[in-house]
Amino acid sequence: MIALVRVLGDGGHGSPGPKRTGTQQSSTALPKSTRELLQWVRANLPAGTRVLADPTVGSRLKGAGYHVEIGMAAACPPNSFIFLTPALEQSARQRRPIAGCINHSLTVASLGSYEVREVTADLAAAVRARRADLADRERGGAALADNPSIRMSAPLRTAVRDGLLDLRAQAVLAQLAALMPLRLMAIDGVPAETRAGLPARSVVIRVPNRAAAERQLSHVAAAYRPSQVVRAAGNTLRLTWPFRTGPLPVLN
Amino acid sequence: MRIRRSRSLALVAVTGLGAGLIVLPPAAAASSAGAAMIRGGHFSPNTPGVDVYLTAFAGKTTRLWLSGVGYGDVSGYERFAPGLYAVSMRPHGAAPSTPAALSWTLDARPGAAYTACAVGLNAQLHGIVLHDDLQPAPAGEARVRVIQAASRAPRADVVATGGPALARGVAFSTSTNYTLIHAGDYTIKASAVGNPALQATTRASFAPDSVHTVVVLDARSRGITTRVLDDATGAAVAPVGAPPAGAGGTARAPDDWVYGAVPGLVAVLATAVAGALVLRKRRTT
Repeated sequence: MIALVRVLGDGGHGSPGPKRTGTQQSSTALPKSTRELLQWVRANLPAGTRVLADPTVGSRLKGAGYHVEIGMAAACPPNSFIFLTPALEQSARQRRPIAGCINHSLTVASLGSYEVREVTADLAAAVRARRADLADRERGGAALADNPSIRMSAPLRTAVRDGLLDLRAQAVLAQLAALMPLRLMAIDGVPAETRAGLPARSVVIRVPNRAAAERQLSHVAAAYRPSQVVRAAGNTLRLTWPFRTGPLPVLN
Repeated sequence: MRIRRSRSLALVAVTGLGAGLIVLPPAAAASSAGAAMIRGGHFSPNTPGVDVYLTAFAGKTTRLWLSGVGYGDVSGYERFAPGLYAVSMRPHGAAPSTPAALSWTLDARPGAAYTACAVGLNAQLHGIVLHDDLQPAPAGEARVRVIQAASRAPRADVVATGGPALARGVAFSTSTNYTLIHAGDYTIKASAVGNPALQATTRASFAPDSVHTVVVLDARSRGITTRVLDDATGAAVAPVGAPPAGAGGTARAPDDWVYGAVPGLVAVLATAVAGALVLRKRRTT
């Protein structure tokens, strides 16, 4: 009854989702939360990602261009995902393997009672890693907020101090600020991720030399590199980092 | 009234001194007890030299060291203020306009020691940061780890003859945890997994309570070689390095601390001297 979905579209990190086919079912029949989380999956989970979902959601993903495998409900290897809906929760009450999958996962996107969860190899370790990540963001944010080469409004400064900004963004801003003064104009989070306790991973900055900033951004290691650098008016850049599942190279 | 004015002048001098300290680099500002110790290591076999940069999230602390340090070498430890740093690097001699590649974040903790290593072949040059355990080993023993930086050996075994295995199948560009070994003289043998002809030996003397790193490297022409680094002996930590060698591509020459500290200190000293002179004059009148 439960579909294990392998995503085969080109909906990789930050890229548009796979091409919709003419056979897709109408999304409007789904609750808004489900539609939004489906969009999140298509935008953020790369091709090949395994997703455990109920048949309805699984069929939608399949109709949207994803390959769906059915009949492997109990298999939820680490780094696969669960598209948790009330229907799947109902199934979990009857099927312990599904409940086991859910119990070994952490929420990465949330809309009410609908969630996307990542299956972990070691839940306790994953919880510790998430706490450590927050602590790193808070320490880094406190330092970044005091960086004299980065100007920002008081509310943004508070947000940065509170660790609401992704550590990758913090590191890149610190390095950019070593080259040129910059102004942090905005921090944008994905609402579903923010509800799940994940940090914002998109910023808008204004720099005096956009070409030099872009040159520096091209020399950032893959783990820290923004997936999107979009030019805007007035020497501003929007930098967006991909949804992150693996650990960052951070040494404490 | 006279006293109040004198105190005001003294306060100006002290405040000026404090302001002057703010522009000093972390290495200078940090006390030895509360500082983090960081050194650089060049383990990229076909990169002539590597420059490593630490950029504090708090800003104004971009530092350059390892200029001209060759393959297999490490710098001395330097003291840095604890905090988060973006670690980046690039081949030595690259044009100043060439950005350094950001590759790591280091949360430097008070009293902890780290080695920022440039590893991998030149085309895939990247950085890793290792935590160095410089605490003395238990009595009569030494603590040894392995950094595998020989590209000719995708995986390598390292053993101390008559002692324990220090590494089994350690992959290129990675390191092991520390192994305890009885203090004494050993022959260290490194060999490529699956290619026993590719091997190297070296003699090493591990003093009691000491800490060492065995680095497996590509030999100059062909084959592999090993080098033993002395990280700490007893309570003494191996050498603290010289000041940074100079500004590089990520340094902001006109306003960076290197250039700002001296005039700042001159101003501070001038203020302090002026304050002292005024105080002396007041007392004599």
